[in-house]
Amino acid sequence: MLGAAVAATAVVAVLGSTGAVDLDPVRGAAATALGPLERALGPGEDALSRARAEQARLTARLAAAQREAATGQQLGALLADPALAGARLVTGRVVAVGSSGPSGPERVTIDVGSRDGVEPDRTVVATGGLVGRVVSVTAWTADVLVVGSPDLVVGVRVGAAGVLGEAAAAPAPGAPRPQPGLLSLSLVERGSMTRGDAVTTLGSVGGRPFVPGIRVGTVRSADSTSGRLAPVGTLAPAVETTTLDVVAVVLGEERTGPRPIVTGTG
Amino acid sequence: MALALAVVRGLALLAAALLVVALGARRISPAPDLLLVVVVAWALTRGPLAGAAAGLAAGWLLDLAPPGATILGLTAFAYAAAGALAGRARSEGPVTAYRVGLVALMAAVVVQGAVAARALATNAQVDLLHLGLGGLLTATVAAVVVPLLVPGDRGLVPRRYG
Repeated sequence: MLGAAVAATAVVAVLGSTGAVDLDPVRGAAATALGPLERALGPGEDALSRARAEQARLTARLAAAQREAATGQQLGALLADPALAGARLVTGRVVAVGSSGPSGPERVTIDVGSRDGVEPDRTVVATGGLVGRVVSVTAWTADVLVVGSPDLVVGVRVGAAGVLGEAAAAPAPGAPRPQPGLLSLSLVERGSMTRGDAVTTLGSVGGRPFVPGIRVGTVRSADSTSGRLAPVGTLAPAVETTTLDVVAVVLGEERTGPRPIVTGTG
Repeated sequence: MALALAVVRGLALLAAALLVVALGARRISPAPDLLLVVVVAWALTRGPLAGAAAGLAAGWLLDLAPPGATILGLTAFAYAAAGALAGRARSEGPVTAYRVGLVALMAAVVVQGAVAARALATNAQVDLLHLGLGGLLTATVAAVVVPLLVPGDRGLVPRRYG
């Protein structure tokens, strides 16, 4: 009898620690049976506990007010971005951050999902510019692959001339490895870029995964003597992914009809 | 009679488990481990097997009583080992306070040792002073209470004649 009980305990401990079996129903049943007894034996309400409860309520209200003010401020700055003028956006907050890569978080979870109209391969932006793209969606949350993740390569335009290139965490062949926090930038054809040039998204078909014209960052260094045909360099991202809070998902609008035919006037 | 005895012992364990949780809720710390006191009393009366069984039941109660343990079953193992150890010190005749205190201290070391080992395995801090004070309090309460409990417990056990 005792041996069986010890064996059962060992099995439960192993299964519980490995997460192979969900033991929450057992905990729930125990809480249902023992909870009322604990409540009866627990400390009663007195002046001190009432004061503490009031303090906790006020602290929570203050935190909520501060959060609302900060959200409003960030949201205002985000919506004022000229690159997003006229875009259909759904705003959300970062609620979970995945494992960090060499240059910060690689995936984050935001609190908007398919019920808010979010779909995979949508552009995610924050105040300042591009955050990343939606990779998976549940009813109320969405996972975002952020700029700086090794799995994310962004087609970009560099500088006022709009030279085509690509930005990625991994260096292009022949290019030096970017420092932590920076992205590798390589132009796809002969062109030039200089430090300080703005880098924006090139855009994709149907605006998925990236809508055009979103600020990705700024050229930090440019090197045209690396032995490659096209110059390479590094890029400082426009958005600090380690402090992400309020973000917006660009919903975009699918094109349903052909583009109009136009006549040259030359 | 045997059923009544099991019910009495079960209720004693339940009451001790609830008291342990209630003391924690009143921020009384370090506090004596009343559950271990009951386990030691049982083990000193009935021996190592009964002590281990009582410890297993007591540990499961602590594992399951809200807020409960992170991993179910580990506390049960620690208390079962403590109960078995205490049961090995069983002897016929009157139970002295000195002997009970010593046995309870050893049992507390087993239980607290398991707590410390689990904390060290997760790189958490271990407050040795807190653990030591808790063990001493448990031994003190056991030395006072168990000599009073054991005769009553022995009285409940049906005698065999012939």
